[in-house]
Amino acid sequence: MSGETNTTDEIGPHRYRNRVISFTLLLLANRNAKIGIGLLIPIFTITIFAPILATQDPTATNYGQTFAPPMLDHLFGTDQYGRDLFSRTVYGGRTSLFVGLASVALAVAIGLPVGMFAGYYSGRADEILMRAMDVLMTFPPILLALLFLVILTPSMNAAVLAIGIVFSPRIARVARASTLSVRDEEFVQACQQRGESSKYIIFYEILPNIRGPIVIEATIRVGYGIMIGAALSFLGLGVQPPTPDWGYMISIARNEIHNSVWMLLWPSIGLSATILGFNLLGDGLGDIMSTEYEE
Amino acid sequence: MFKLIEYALKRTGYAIMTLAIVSLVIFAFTQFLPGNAAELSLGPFGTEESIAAEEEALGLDRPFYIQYFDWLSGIVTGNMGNSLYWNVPVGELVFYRSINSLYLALTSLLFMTAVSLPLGVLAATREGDKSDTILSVVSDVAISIPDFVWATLLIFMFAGSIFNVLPSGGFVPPTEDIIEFWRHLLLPVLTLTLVTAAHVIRQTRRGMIEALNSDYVRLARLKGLDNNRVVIKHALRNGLLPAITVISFTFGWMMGGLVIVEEVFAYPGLGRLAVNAIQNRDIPVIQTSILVLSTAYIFGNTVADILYTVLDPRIEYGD
Repeated sequence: MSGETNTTDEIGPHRYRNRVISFTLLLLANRNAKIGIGLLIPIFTITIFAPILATQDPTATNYGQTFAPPMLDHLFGTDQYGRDLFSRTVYGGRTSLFVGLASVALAVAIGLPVGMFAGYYSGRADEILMRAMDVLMTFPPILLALLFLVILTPSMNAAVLAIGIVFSPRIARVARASTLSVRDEEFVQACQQRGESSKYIIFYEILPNIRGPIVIEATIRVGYGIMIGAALSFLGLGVQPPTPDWGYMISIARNEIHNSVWMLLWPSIGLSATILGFNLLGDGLGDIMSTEYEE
Repeated sequence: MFKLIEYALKRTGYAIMTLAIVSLVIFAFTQFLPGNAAELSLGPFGTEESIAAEEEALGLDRPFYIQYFDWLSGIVTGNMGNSLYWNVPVGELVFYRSINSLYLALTSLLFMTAVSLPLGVLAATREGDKSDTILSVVSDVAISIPDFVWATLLIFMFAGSIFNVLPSGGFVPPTEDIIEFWRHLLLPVLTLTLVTAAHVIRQTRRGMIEALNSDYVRLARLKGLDNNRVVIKHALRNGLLPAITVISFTFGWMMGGLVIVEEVFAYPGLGRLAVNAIQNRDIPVIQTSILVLSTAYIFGNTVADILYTVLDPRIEYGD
């Protein structure tokens, strides 16, 4: 039995392609989603092609030319060590996007199975799993991340691990609530009658039907993840130098604020535009989802 | 009414239980620290014997649960030992820093509320208008700019390169010089307002739109009351309910925000104390400062939950 027989619609490759196209059209019809995608596509393109776009080595110093304003050689100017700000900003985006995406991937990897098992089994297992998740939710996110960094040595991977754990209960909550709402549907009951294993039902029947809310929650979390990751780097407890990172660049720019505005400007724009992009895309997906449910 | 009190009590009991678990988690975390308090306080020159002696003196050789209850009873009696880094009693340090943070958090909360409620109501009365759209775009952008970026931008604008009119950081006690106190508070308050106002504006707008479209407001309009009167006398009372809940959530949220904002503005509050303690591996201070911040966070969320139930008549306070 394939997992796709669960929906009442006929599904074939043709039908699937139509769905992708119609979903893309829906996305583009939504103001928030459109602006979000409009921001994220260039940001992703720039960071993916960073090695080609970066005109210079982002860690190469040049003490003869510090705090330079934008010019032909250095499109964005240079920092206190004479490093090229354009290259650092472009590579810094890689770090921020990696921290945001990797931490949310980890949060989904932890939160999704926990939430689905809790929702599917209810009772004792639900109670224990969700109470454990609740404990994680009773800390302010940044504080819990800091607490994890107390026992881990500050680094980019430690930041990803900390943020991933901090976000996992939020994913678990959404996964649990959505699982509860489809658990008693006919197609799930049919599988149970058929004698399918719980594991099969959870991953092949329920998962495809709850991916919408999960994707929305994850998209919004990526923005927050980037924000917390940058804040940790800003405090000196996240990404460590000389790796270019927007949060760390801003913390240096703060000390050099009387010497150069550019050092503050570029990473701030990059960081805020990326977060705005994910926030708007998440909002847009939410709008689309809620209208779909109403129809 | 009885049911309501019962719910509030239940919710408070739950909060206290949560707090107990949170304290256990914080304590357990600091136990995992590579290098315990004895090694840290003796520094790199401690010999094995002197570390063992210090461990005994600090009571670190006792079982985990005894140390935990010792720590808890210390908090209740106000005897939490000395900071390893500042070498002053932890209780005193955390107390004064909490007062400073409270000035900052409460002022920000008041200021933010005073700004966002009218803006939210205004946006609702002009739903779909140009001013409504502009406000929603501005708030989307405002919450996408992280707090430490806002703080740095504000310092750049008002405490240096453009207008040099405000201090870039620090703190003056209100008992010493009230004007300087406010001058030092202004930029941190502005930062916290900028990153939280959008949520309250959004909720106020949503609540007001719902209230303005309700039957009783339509009835009031049909009776021929003028628009301002309808908004103020009829819609406001119900329209502001969701905003009140968000405001108390924001108080909890600020406990996390304080960590960053206080650090940027070198403001001697609890958040900065926690960050410095983590950087210096000052275990007793880490434990107590994070516990106090989490308590305030839980307090904010509990109040929000209770208010939400009290204010919304549609909710049944069953569980």
